[in-house]
Amino acid sequence: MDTLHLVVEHLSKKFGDNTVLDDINIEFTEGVYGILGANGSGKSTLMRILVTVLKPTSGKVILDGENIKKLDEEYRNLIGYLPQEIALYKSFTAERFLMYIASLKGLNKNEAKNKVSELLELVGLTEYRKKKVGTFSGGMKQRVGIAQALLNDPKVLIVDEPTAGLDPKERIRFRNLLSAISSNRIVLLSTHIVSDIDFIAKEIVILKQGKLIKKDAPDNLLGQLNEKVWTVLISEGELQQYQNKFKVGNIIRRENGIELRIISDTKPIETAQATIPNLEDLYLYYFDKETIL
Amino acid sequence: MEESEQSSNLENSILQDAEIELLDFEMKQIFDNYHVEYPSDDEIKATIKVIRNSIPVNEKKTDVICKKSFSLLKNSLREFNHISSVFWISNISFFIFGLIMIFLGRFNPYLTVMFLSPIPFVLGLIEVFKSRDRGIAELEMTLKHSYQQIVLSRMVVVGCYNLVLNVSITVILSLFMKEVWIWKLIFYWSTPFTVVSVMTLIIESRIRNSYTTASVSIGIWLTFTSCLILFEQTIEWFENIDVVYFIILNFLAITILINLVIRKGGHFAFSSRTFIEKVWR
Repeated sequence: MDTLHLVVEHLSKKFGDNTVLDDINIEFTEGVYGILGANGSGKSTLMRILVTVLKPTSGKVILDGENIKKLDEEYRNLIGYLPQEIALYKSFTAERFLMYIASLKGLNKNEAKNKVSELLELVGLTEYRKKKVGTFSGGMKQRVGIAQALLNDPKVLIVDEPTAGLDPKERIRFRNLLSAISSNRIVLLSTHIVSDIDFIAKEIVILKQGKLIKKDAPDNLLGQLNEKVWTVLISEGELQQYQNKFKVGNIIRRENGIELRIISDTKPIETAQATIPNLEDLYLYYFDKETIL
Repeated sequence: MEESEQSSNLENSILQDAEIELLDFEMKQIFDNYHVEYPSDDEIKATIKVIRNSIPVNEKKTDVICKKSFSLLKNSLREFNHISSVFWISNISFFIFGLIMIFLGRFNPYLTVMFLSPIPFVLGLIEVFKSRDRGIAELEMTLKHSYQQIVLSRMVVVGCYNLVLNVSITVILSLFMKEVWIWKLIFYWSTPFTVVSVMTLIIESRIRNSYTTASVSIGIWLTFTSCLILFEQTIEWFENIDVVYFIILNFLAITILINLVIRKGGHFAFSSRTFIEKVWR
């Protein structure tokens, strides 16, 4: 079986004078890609261009050697998309909504019935199939959202900030679900929540202010942070001073003081101990002005 | 001096001609001796078979139209099943109420039918653009059947339902009110149906909110019909309008309507895309 190749070539998007994406070049093959960036970094715009909702100002997207603009319906038949804020027809039941989307995806009735049952089972909504989606919680709506995205067994699955607004339990459930369905397809998962892509991402793409900063395997990216993440034990009174001077990650209160996790290219103080970096440190390293969720 | 230059040019030209002749001769010899192995019939057939898959098939225009019409019909049937029951019930209720007013309230049948005739299409726009107004358009734009196709098929359903109601009321009135002139009745509903539909679509392409569009359209239509009905003189003037003007108005409105719905069908989808882009800025 041929490997899928989704290539983004010199992609730029402007809204008026505002450049949201600036000359992005990325290649995706099968596997999960975590697209990491702060709010306003251009993640959602990139996603929307990849799902043909937005047209790029310049550049192109190529799937297996063909421009997606030329592939048109053929391309849309290969993709599954979960928008950032999934809106559903509130008066529809989960089953009816999925059957409707299945028909818009070109599935015949029998095919759709089987697929809908299978996916409701996968997302754990079988017993709620006859309930109106308007009564669902945020997590349940997201599960309906991922089910609709999978109806056509997409070769390219694009999910835009899928865990925003979900509680930790739902978030873990969603991450595991995504991991389970990620074989034999390209999964692009845009997020600013680092724990979403922990363990499941084959590569991480870092976007900052519309520019591609890094694209590499998590281990390689974390390897670049070796000797850049430190733990320091300080007193209560020094906390403010350290927060002003360094990029501070975790703050843990110990019996003998406060333990800070500091991200710094150089050793912050003589007593600082180098520690193993994690994805939160990576995020903080690139997006120090942003909040970690 | 000039003479010697001319003779030198002549010599050069003769030499070049001789060289070209020699080259021609050599090339001819090379090609004569070059042997191209002719492929067997099986090889030719196999090559044609492989290449045929890559050659785009030129479909006949009639085939393309048939295919598109069939697809539109199929999509419309699907949308028919997903249009809100409120839309079906409210519109049929208006028409039943109109019939009651005509039969029991002794309302003018022509003016009543005229007033009711464009209402289903105007209200139907809420159904046509429900995915945009409820935030589902972004998802629908990514599906195999394009958003343009979805919008168009919903318009077909809403338009057809409006036509069915108008035709039904015409049939009922012509069966039970012998004094009603059927052609006059048809002109009285077809003209507002087409003209108000065009007006509503134009307003929708500017406002991009179906609830506002429906309110504005119904407001304008209500004002117009009220002005018409309230005064005897205006009713008299309206009833005396030559039928030719109705035909012209209908023809113009249908032309614009076809242009808007079929040829520029994408315009509505496009305006939704522009709307979404503006929201995302």
